[in-house]
Amino acid sequence: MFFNSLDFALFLPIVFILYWFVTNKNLKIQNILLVVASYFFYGWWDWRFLFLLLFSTLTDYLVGLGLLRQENQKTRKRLLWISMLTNIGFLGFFKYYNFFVAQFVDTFSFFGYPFHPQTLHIILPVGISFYTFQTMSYVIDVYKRKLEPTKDFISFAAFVAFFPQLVAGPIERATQLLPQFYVKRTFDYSKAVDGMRQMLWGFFKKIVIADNCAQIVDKVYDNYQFLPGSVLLIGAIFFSVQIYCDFSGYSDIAIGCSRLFGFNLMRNFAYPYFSRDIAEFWRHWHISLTTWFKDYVYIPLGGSRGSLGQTIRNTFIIYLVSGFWHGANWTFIVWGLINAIYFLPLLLTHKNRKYVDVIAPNSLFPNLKELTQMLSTFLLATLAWIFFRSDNITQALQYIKRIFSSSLFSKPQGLVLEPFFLIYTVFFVVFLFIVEWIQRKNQHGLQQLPEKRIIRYLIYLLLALGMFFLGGSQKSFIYFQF
Amino acid sequence: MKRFIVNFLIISVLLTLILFLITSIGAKGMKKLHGTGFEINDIYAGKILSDLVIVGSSRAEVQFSPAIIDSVLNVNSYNIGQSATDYTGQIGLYNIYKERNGKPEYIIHQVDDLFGKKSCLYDLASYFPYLTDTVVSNLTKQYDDLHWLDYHNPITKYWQQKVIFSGWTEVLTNRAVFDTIKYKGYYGSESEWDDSFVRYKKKYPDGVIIEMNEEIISEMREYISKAEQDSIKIALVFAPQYIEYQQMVLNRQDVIDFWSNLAKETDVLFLDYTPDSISYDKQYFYNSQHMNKKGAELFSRKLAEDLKKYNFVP
Repeated sequence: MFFNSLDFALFLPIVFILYWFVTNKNLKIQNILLVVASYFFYGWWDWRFLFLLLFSTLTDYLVGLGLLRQENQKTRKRLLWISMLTNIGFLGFFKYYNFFVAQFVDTFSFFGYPFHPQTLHIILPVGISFYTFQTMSYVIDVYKRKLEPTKDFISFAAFVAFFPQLVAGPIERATQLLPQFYVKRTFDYSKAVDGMRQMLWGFFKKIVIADNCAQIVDKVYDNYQFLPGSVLLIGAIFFSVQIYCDFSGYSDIAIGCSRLFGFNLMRNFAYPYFSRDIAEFWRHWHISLTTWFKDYVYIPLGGSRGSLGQTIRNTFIIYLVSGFWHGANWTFIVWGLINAIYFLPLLLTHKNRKYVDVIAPNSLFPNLKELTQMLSTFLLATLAWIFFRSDNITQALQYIKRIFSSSLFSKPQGLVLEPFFLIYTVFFVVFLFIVEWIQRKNQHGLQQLPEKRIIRYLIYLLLALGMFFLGGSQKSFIYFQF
Repeated sequence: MKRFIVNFLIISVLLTLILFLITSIGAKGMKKLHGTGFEINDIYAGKILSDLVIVGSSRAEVQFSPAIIDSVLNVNSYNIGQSATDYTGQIGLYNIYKERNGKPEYIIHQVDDLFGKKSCLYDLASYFPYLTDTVVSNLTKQYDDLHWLDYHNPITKYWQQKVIFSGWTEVLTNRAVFDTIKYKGYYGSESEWDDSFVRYKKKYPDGVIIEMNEEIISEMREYISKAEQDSIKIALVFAPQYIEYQQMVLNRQDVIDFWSNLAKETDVLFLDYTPDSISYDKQYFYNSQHMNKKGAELFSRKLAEDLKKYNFVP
């Protein structure tokens, strides 16, 4: 079920009413409701993959219990491996099987041994990368004795399948989310209102900004061979806005929706395009995944405790793995590699933690230096996104080559767009940056609103009307494919 | 909790009222629009009352001139051809015509080799003001675009439909023209030969094989048989296609044989203009499937003369 669908608009109030008015007296039943609702939410897309979700949940629950009872280190390690192989096995099969087969074919053909193995028509289960990583974090934390394994299967199933964040995160840590299922939730008015506002802002970013930008981006990428560099640069910039609004919009909806049910999810985006360097960008972009890789890959590899060479190696590893996590395509791996390269000068000069505070905390506008830093970080990210958006490496390289040609300075033309559409899309993009700049010290774009009720209501209504009439037609979220 | 629900309801009611107002006024304006994309308005208004109706896709819309057919056959004809509409849509639109304007005496149905079943109805939003009428919803329900809720409230179907602004423009300015205005449903295009066929050839260098869609075929059979029950005379007409395209269709003869056999089986007239000299001359086309105004009017005259010869209209 998509958040931006009529089905969800019916589903959410029904679950909300059942949750707070029917099942609120019994924690266990309330959690069962969340499991049933989450499975319904997921099964609406394709019920067959519910078995996969259930199997993954059961495996990690039982492994957790096994780790609780087992003191023998060898057996504990074996249990950990069972969980890792199950989770990575599913991920590997559904997401990477055909990719690896294709790479073997290419390699053997290169050495003069062509062969034609069977590739399979595999449908990627939505959200598999997200919930797999979430359950893996549970087992690893239990194995490392950072977390007491749960005996409560319902709470664990609710933790794995919790519908607001099931298909595209934030990827929660069991230490943070699981305990919230053990305690009775009470309705908190201000938390619920803030949740609604965050959802509204998320929907606005997705429906009005991302989906309208998508129409421009798709046209540019479909015809990039015939368009001048100036238009390609504009297309690349619009994609940067699109992917941010698409994904952070989803995260805002997920976090806001969870707050309606009394849950707190971790922050996933912190205005990444206001970052002053690429290290700050990565501390503010898809935070739940970045920290996951930091906690479960980077630190176990030694993190930054070893020599500079080891730190650089570890950094490259997490960026490459992060790229590969996004999808079975070389474009994502190169995208990860580029970001690692961006990171390199900061590592070498030990400036990778230079900016940890909010930009321009005491002034209305950024100063010239900050503005230049933000713009250059944005452009670097935009350049890397070209690989992310392209179908293959060749397309990405040709796209970049055309940007850096003399046509970069030519009049942007060749793209047929309705003037009215273009005007309001650009207007909303500018509006986004202004609103988020104003709210940069807050968690989301609508956190602090004027005191006067009539003005607040007017803001809600205008945003809702904008979504209703001026939204773009694309429906799916980009990150659903991961 | 009470406070939360009350505030939520206040905002929801306010939003619903505003949306109701905007969509109602917009829909009122949309009903008054004429031209390409809003053919349904003239058909639904029920004032056409023609003896002869031309049914089909854009290949009917831009190629069959009612003015010429009227002058030769001395009838009152109307073209309800609509762009990018498959056979299901064509038949559905004809049913709306019949319901609102009464049955015609004659139908010219433009047939071709495009058997594909489309997933959406072209210009769907133009049907929105009429969705409460079952004759319209019977058509729209054959496509997947709308949610069941859209049929039961006046607002949700306009979600992200910018066409509502055209309705508002009409209400505010009384400018009832949308896109291109037509004469009796026909629009002769002055367009010049474009490069779409070059791209098509590149895409299918080895030619194409037309797949005959069984579902569509049975829909057409049923439609012809109903028309016969209503004592309506039907002619199936295959308009010219540019010759190079015809040569690309590897099973072209099977397609022609299909229509020819269907006509024999149902005892209706079938006229095939694909071998006509028009098909060999690029100056009459703006792409491989569509004749320009010059070609369309030459063809319409030939067709009308032939219908006269076959005594289609006594």
